[in-house]
Amino acid sequence: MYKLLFLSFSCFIHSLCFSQTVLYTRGEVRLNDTIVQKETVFKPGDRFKTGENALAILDLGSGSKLKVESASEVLIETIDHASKGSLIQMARGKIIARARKIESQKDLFNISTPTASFGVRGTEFFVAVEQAEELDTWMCVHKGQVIAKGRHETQTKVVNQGEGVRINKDGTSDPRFLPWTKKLNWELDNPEDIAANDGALKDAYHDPLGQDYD
Amino acid sequence: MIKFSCAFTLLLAFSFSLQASNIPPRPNNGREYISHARVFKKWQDWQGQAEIALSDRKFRAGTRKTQVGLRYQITTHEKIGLHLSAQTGLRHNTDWIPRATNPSLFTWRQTKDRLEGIGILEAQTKRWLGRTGLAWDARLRWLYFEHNQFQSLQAKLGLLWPRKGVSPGLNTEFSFPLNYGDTGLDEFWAYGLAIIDITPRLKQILKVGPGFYRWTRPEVLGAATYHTVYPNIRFEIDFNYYFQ
Repeated sequence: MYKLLFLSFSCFIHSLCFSQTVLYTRGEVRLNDTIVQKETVFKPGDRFKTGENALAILDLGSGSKLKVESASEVLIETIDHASKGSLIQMARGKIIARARKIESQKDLFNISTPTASFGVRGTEFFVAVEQAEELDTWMCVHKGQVIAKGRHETQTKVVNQGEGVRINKDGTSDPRFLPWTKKLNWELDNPEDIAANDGALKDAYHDPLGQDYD
Repeated sequence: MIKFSCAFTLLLAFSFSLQASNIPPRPNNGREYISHARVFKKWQDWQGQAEIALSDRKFRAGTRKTQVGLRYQITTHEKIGLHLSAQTGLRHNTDWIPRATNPSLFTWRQTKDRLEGIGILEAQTKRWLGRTGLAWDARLRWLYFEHNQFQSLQAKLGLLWPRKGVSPGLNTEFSFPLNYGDTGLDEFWAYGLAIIDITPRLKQILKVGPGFYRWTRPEVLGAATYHTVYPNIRFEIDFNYYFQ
């Protein structure tokens, strides 16, 4: 009896600490095709879609947050703070993620896109899936470190704070500073300062270092 | 004081007369105008480029240039390249010659229609300056002039603030003779530049700044070696088209 009570209490505490809720919405945000508002609770297996000029901030529990930007589609595949960690699948659009600092394997935070996967070790980073001449994934790290890997690659690349990569069918670029990422809005806490990064990729395809002017 | 003034005037007159006899006359003004039209095309890690140039370079005679080149990107930041250039109007130290009518006076050989081939090997690096948004680049070029087998080394250092619309920058270029002359530096140019995006593929580049040439007339038949420096202000306007 005591064991049952203890177990119930533990589950209650765990749900308080690691509950997943929508913290903020702007514009049309859908959870499994139903429009949602702030404080909606979600669970693993749920899919978020945002419309044009929309965004949502999700609390993944345990100090991790996800900002889903406009015209994005994200599947919360697993959120398992007890054993395997979290896995977010991103089909299109842009996100900013803040993963809590890793203390054990259970804190692993992984994001996958059609062309790449990222293993996160307590960090803030930006991911965008863009259909340009080909399907690209852009990722840059604001704080901490991210392990990046192309879908068909066996080797991983470590992307440090201030660096970014482009990943497509040709593989993963060498990590380096991407000047256009300086304009990104990283705010996840204060609603007044939260801004969309809609035009972020506009300059991503222009590489001043790659162009000679002689 | 009067004695000093007279002595100074005499010294000045003497130096002018010395220059007049040994140094070819300088152009009336120190302004040069240069213009390039370039096209660039990328194939994976390779980049081809072709350019033509016209210039009113009074200190070098008017030059016309056609150049083709190929660059290979070794890493994200480093490239090497090979360029072949055909130019007319170039001037070398060996073009500092006695006048036919009066061998005690010197002049520049007419080189306006002299065609020369030049081979260029280069290595360059471009990097971001931390997270400032500024980019710096350094380029080293080895030039071989087939006309007289002269070789020189050109170095360029640049700082650019890449922006949408207009990207301002500062550059310096140096040229060092390798197998001729007796000075360490024979050309210098420090300039400000602006890269203007006319369209995403077409850019206009404006450059302006002071420079100089340092000429050396080699010792010939017992005559002394002479030097002269031609300072100038160069104005350059270029158009670059990027196919990719």
